[in-house]
Amino acid sequence: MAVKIVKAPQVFHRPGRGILSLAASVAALGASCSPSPPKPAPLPEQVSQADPAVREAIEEAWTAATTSPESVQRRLELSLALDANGFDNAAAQSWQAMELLAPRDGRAAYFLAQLAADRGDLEQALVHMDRVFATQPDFAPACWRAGFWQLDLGRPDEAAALFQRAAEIDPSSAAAMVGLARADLARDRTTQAIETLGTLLQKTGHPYSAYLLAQALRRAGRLDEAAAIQLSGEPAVPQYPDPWNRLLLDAQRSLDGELGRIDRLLADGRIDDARLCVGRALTNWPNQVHLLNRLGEVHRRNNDAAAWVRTMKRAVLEDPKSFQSHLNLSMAFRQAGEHERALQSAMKAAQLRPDLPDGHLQLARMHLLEDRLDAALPALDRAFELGVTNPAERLQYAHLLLRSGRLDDAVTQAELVVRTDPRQADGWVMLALAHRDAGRVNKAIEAVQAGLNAQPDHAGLRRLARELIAGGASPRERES
Amino acid sequence: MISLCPLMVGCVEEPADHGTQLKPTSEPDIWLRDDSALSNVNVVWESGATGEYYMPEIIGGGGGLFDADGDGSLDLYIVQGGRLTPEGIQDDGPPNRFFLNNGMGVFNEVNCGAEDTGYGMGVAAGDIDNDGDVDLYVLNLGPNSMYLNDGKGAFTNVTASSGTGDPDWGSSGTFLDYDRDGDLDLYVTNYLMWSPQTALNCVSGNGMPDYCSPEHFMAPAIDRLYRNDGNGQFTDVTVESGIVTKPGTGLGVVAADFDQDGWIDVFVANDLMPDHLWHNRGDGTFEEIGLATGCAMDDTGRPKAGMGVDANDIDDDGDLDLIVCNLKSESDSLFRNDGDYFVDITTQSGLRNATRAWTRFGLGLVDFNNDGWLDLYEANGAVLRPSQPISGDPYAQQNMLLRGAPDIQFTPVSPRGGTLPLKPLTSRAAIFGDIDNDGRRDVVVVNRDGPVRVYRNTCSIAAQSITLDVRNRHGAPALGAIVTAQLGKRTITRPVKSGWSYMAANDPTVHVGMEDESVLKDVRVRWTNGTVTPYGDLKANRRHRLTQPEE
Repeated sequence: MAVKIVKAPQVFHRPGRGILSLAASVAALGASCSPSPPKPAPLPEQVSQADPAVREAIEEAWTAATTSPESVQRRLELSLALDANGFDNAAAQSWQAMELLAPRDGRAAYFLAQLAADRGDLEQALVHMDRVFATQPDFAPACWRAGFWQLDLGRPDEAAALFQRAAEIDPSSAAAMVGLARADLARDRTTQAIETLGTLLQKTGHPYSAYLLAQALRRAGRLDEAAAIQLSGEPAVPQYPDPWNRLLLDAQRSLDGELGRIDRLLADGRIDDARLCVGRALTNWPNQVHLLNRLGEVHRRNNDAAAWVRTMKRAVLEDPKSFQSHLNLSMAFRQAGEHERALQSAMKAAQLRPDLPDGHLQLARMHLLEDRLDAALPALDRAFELGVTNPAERLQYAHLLLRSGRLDDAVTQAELVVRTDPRQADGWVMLALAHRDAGRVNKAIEAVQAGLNAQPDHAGLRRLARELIAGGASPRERES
Repeated sequence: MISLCPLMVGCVEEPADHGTQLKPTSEPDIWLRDDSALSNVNVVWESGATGEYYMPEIIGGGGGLFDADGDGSLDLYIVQGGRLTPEGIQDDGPPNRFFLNNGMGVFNEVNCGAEDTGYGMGVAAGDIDNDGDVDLYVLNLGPNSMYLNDGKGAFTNVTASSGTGDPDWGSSGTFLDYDRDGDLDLYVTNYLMWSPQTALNCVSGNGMPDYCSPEHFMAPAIDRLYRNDGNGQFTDVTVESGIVTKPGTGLGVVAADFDQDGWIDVFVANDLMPDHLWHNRGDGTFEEIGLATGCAMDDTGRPKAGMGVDANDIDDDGDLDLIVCNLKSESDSLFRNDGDYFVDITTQSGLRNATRAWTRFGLGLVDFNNDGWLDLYEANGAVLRPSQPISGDPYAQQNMLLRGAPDIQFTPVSPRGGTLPLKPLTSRAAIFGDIDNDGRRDVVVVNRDGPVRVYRNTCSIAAQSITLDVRNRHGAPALGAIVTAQLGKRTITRPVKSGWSYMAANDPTVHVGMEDESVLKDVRVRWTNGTVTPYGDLKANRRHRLTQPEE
């Protein structure tokens, strides 16, 4: 695709302290007649107290930048290392130094802007961002990021101009479209917002656009449409690609930072990169169970059950009290077809964290694989007492309760299913069957009617309606 | 023509005249004065931190302001932390503390029988046995406790017989009559499935040991709903009510009838998960409609670290709006109730940018300066260690106070927090009430490993106010009732509530700042059974008791 050259956005601010101090520094630099730029400032004392991996990364970057004070790349790496690992003041100083070194590279101002925003100083953040617009006008994330800050400052017109600009630079930018819609909503231009979000939803199917669209529809009084869209599920947290910010995230060197990086790679489907990343992190934190669980996930995605089992065994050996490792080992055994071992691992997980539903659920699944309903039900009972949100799991639970003759419990669970999502036809079927088997035919008919109201064409409901009208079927007939 | 209170059924004008007790303030910008020493409250919420960075150490604690002995002044109950070891939660923690108020805002510590030694978090207050006095529910990390009041401020532990000893990690709780059967039921907010044995080693951004985020545990908890059976016993109806379907990381809770259908709903602020609005369907069941009504998250679509919460009518349209406070870099969320849905008006109100620089916990929409507009107080303190701390307590932050103005505008008061600069602390619960009966709202702030601070309101005495002590027919605070009245040209709506803010039980009386209005007109109370009682016009600078008439 051809790159479109466009002008910088027309949203500028009077130079604030940031730009003035920068100008003064540039002038001072020019007047000093010194050909080589200054070396990085000494590292803050707290760096020496940081985690060894963080400390080494920062010290390494600092040494490199000190050795080559003229290198923009080295200064960038030092600034990223400080910024990503929480040394905000030192990072700000380093970014300022980089900006002096490379005034046409917008990244320093970009990260200075974000540091200011994190401090709650959005006006200063926008001042920094103006320098990014001046040097790199075609970087869409700068536009939408500044747009969101303008929205937060209650200036939707300025925000809309920035989002429009981001959309021109990158027509596929979800951030730009979401921003435009939010700016419209803030200006009571609900119809326009609905249009924008509808397009975005069609293009991307992003659950967050569905969430926002439902909000816009409610504001327009279109409550039924909003309710229908809302039932599409819980919105995922919106993520907007930003290659510069990715540099920052990838510069985190604590264990949490490494885990986050691996998770991002997995989310992007970059399995080989994730494997490399885990391997490198394991040299810093040998046999760390969270890393081993991520390595197991890499194997799972590669459909390598044997390697997954091997890795999870290693994790369990390393920390026999790790609930997550036992749970994942159970899943790995199951994938490898070793059901009895999977059951044992699930039992261990449930023993280690009897207060979490996942271990009990896995235990029940393994019992059910062997058709041991009597053993599965107590585990399911416990899991659902502790809270299971997945309606499909609850529906299966209701079905098993029905099979085992616990009809009142089946009614309770089926009611919870249809209350959460009235379109869940199988939930209505389950509710009707439980009532019918309990001898409450009228209630069963009511459930079927309610189900047909929500899903008029559902074959199971129609069949059941016919059966009920004809006098109902006995449990034995249903089983057959 | 003004019809005064004594002419009305069930309304008693109490003798205290606010005007005679007010003292002028020396500094016009100082809204709150630290009167902890004068108030004789000398207590520190002890986290028991030993360097293990156990999560509960950074979450608590709370307390309550309520009239325990029926003398018309607010007494103070402060929960205490405790001791955590790798073996578990130790039951030999410091006991919770109780202070009786002498009526002038000076407290004397007494033994009350509710010296719970569990690892304490919050407290809820309400009359569970309809004997007219306020009973207590203490939320702990571990089994919670129910205490029955004998009416004189002496409490008896009835946890076992009442069946309310939820063993999970309780945070905030609130009493509510969700089934409208005339007695108070109980909603318990739980935070995480956690114990010292399941603790994790977490680090800050630079790899230093630090407290975990709830996300690290992947173990949200189920809240509990207890139905009062009217015979001293409660039944756990968490499953049949539907509350079981959505676990959360609940920290703050407020119960109110948000959709004005006559049934009390429940809003729960969750930490890094979508907040929950449990809509009461009127048949004993609830459905979660936070996402569907637009108050589970703000417009950014990101679940925030919900902590403190309050509900009040900020736009004078008769329904209750919501505010939730959150973590540093996340703003507060202010949701305007538009009937069928909520609109995020955080930005328009000025709160988006004003609040995001701190981590806020306890909060309250309270009219401190009696100008008729609700102000906002927030108690702050970090949960994550900054890489370059500025004081000995790396989590300490200044609290903040924002002045409310017409058109739902909030502006930070200077000096921040409305008080003279004090050494910042790691604040958690903010408990609101009129501790010296002067017609101005005061604040008690519970601080982690720091002294409880009592902030006395020193705003100008020129502005008028009124206090409505709304009681049910048993003589207890009528939690869940709604007061409406004409304030000048405005029609205001104020709920009778105690459980809001963060881990707190607050003064249940309704306070209305009246600026220069001398009469609050056409005062009406809608009781939880749906009936409405008119009380006519009530004079300012008085405390009026409005009692529910017998049916």
